[in-house]
Amino acid sequence: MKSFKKVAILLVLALVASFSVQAQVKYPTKPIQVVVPANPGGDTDLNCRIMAKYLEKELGQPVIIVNVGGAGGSLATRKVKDSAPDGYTAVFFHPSMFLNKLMGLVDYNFDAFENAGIAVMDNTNIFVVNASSPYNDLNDYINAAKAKPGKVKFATETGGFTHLQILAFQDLTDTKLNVVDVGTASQKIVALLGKQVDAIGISYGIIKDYVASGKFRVIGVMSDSRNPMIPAIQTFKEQGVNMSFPKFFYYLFPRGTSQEIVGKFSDAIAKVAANPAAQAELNKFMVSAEYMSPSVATKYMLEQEAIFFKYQNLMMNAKIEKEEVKK
Amino acid sequence: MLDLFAAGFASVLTLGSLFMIVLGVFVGIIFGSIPGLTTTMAVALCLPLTFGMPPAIAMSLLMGLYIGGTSGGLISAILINIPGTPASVATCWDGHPMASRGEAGKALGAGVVFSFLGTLLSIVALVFIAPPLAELALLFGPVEYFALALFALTMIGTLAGKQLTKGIIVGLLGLILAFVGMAPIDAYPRFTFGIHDLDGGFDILPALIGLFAVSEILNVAESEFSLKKENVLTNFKMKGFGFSLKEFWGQMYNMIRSALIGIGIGILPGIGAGTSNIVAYSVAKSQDKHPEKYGTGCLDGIVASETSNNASIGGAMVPLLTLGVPGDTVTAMILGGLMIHGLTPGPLLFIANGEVVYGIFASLIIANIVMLVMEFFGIRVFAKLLSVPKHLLLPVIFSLCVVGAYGLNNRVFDVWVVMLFGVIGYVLTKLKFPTSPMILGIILGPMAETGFRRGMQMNEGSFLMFFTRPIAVFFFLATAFMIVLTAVGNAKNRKKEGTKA
Amino acid sequence: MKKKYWDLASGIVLFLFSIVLYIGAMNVRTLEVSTFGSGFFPKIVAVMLALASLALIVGGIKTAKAADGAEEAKGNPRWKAVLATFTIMVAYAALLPFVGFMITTAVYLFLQINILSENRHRKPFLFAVVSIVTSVAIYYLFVKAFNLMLPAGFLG
Repeated sequence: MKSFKKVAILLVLALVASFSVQAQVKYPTKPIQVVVPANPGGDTDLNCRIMAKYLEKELGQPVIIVNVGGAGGSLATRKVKDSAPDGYTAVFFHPSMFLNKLMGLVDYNFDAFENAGIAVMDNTNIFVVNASSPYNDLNDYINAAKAKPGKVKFATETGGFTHLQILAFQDLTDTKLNVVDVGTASQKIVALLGKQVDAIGISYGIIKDYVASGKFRVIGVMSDSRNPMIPAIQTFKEQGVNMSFPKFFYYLFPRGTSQEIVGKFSDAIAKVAANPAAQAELNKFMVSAEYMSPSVATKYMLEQEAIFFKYQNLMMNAKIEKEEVKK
Repeated sequence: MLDLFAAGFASVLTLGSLFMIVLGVFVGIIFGSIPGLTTTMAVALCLPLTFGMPPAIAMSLLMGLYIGGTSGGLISAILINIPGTPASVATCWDGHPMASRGEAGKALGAGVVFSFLGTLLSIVALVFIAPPLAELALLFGPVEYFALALFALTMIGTLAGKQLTKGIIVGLLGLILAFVGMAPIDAYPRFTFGIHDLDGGFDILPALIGLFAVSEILNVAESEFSLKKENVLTNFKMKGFGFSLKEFWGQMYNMIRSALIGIGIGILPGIGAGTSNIVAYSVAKSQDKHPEKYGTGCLDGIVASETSNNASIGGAMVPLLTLGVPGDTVTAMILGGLMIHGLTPGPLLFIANGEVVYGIFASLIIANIVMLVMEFFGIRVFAKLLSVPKHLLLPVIFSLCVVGAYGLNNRVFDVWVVMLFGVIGYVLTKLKFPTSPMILGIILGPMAETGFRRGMQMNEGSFLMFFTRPIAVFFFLATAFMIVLTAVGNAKNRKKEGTKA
Repeated sequence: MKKKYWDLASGIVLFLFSIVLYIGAMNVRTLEVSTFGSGFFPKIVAVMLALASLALIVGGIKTAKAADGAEEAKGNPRWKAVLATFTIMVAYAALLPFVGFMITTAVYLFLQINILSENRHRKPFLFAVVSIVTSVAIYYLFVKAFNLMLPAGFLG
């Protein structure tokens, strides 16, 4: 009977303890899925995988990458939007999500989610030409475009970030290029190597070896000031084109996920961003871990959204304009 | 180069590395042989496991998975008429009939040997002429892709054989199904009826699972169980690899042609083993003096399919290693893996990390040999495993197909796609339509349309591009030739039989 | 419907479908207002389908006119089994997100094995064991060992 009493007391204590523990949510207790709206091999997937490696250590649970490419990333964002808000599904994306809404592909933006903060900054959005081309800098390219309107080619992915960039560029420099869709980063590389297009818009990290081996030439980077990791590249602003487009990567959770859980995940991001090893790995690809807390990130992203939406009309009318010019 | 090779082999001939190769091939064969699970999935699942490993060992595992997986599909294709992976679709068409005659050993043996040879030839190409091959791949712009797709679409005519009209219809249906989803270029959803899950279109894997696995299950459900048929399948005698030396030499031309097709399709980014096996099979059939034997269980069909799908391995590695551009879905995963290990494939990889590259070559060579040995000894094991009665085996396979379909994009929707295509496949078979052309339609439709529209964009709407680009012109002529050939062949058939297809 | 009319019927259905497709293609929303927009290829395919189905109709008429050939009935098709299989597959997919992979798979396996086997081969106990063991094994292999997410439902 004595042992029975002991067990009974222990049980009661355990029950009481479990009730009080529930007040503070234990997270995470199982693997977390991070959905990447792109296929493997690109910069989004790579950045996410590097982050995941270190997040696992901070969170103590596996962080599993799930690639859901296609439909401009809208398949992935929609999937996460409709997932259970239990903190075990998140999406890792960048400005292209804004563009999905801009183009009317989806009717929501990041504010339909809980923002866990910005993790990675990519200030290496560049225009690249084949080294054998006559364009040494942005102005060469602009002059060529003015000399032959609608003939000089630029490769992008319709509805993607670089598409917005080229529309802004045309607007600011009053030029008309032949904007062609070639698809993903890999396809852009192939198109430029094969000299099928004159220039592409891409992130530096993916093509750094091509610059180093002399096959590609970078004619400008779209950041406010020169990027210390690629100091030889002139900015667009320096060359008279006033545009700056940082590519920021953030994590979103479904609407309704508890603030406590989002906060814990966000803290983990902050710790990873402060981790020199993580920073070094990301720096290899010319991006950097830069943490912005949920509130700061949301403010920043709203500002960016406003900038993007300035170009909405341009985006929607782009093709129609081109047709009329042809006629 | 020889010293680099020596260094490469040295890095791979360590215990850890060899173990990984063997493990990779083994796991690859298992994933490859189970319908629903694919090589891409095997690589994707094992990628996180490689994070702690040094790059050379990680690559050994991945190469083993790649080779084992691509070849493993032939096992289920031959023994249960369901392709283990999209790379072995065409193997079913002659592999299974051969097995039903009691000659499963011959089919399996041939499949294994020619998988080995196909891989070997493509490795040779990769090691010795990768840079020129990469240059060739760069010559393929949108117009060339359009022309190539058009040419491959004419293979529908060859596959359909006597049932030309029905075959064309099924091919067109495949094209139509491929339209569903985001349109190329402008990315607006087409034919999705507002169902957002359809925005991404129908993935080829669930479609394949549905067309083959589900319809097979429905067929088995429909027909009566025949103990005799089952025994014929699994009790086969086998000596050596199951086929004679004379037969082997007879397949040489077929093998080389199929390997070239496999390598060629492999080096083009975006298409790989899934396409090459069907194209090689069709080309073999169209060039054969007796095309009617295809589909009845002829060796040529198996050789064509299995040589080319494995040849696409080396082919797909060419753009990956030289340009940093993946040649197919598996290499896309491998690209991610390489980058995570701090290696950027591309022009500098050979210079900066030459030992890794040659380590990869060495892994491929060794993994190929391991695959041959493992599968040779495994043939009898496979047969025993598959002598498990169909009523137990097929449901288990279906549940694995569900895993594969769901695991693709983490949505139940893909399982529904499997069901849809299962119904389509079943109905088509019941109405006596051939199902094989549908796959060509689904794979090649987007390639043709995207190529055409992008080509138009690049050339500002001028049709001149079709006549001025040599590679495209070559394929257009080939297309026209195939159309004429098929039409003439069909007319001849009709004359012979006096009835309409 | 007798088998000999199938080709003719299929041809007619397909022809009608091609018309529907063409109309649908005309309404495809596109960013490019040009001749080669997203509706172009579907229209071409619709036309080709119409032509092919006409060919099929012509062939179908010939087959239908032919004498009622030997309608070989290869054994007795077990239509009930086919329908049952299809039904449980649909139920499987439908219940998957709610009840979770393990349970739905175990139930599906048990039912499907029963359908495919015929009375003389039924061994309910064996089937149940196979169903449960397989289902659990797959779940643990993929979710625990490989970290692949499978629907967990409310139980897992």
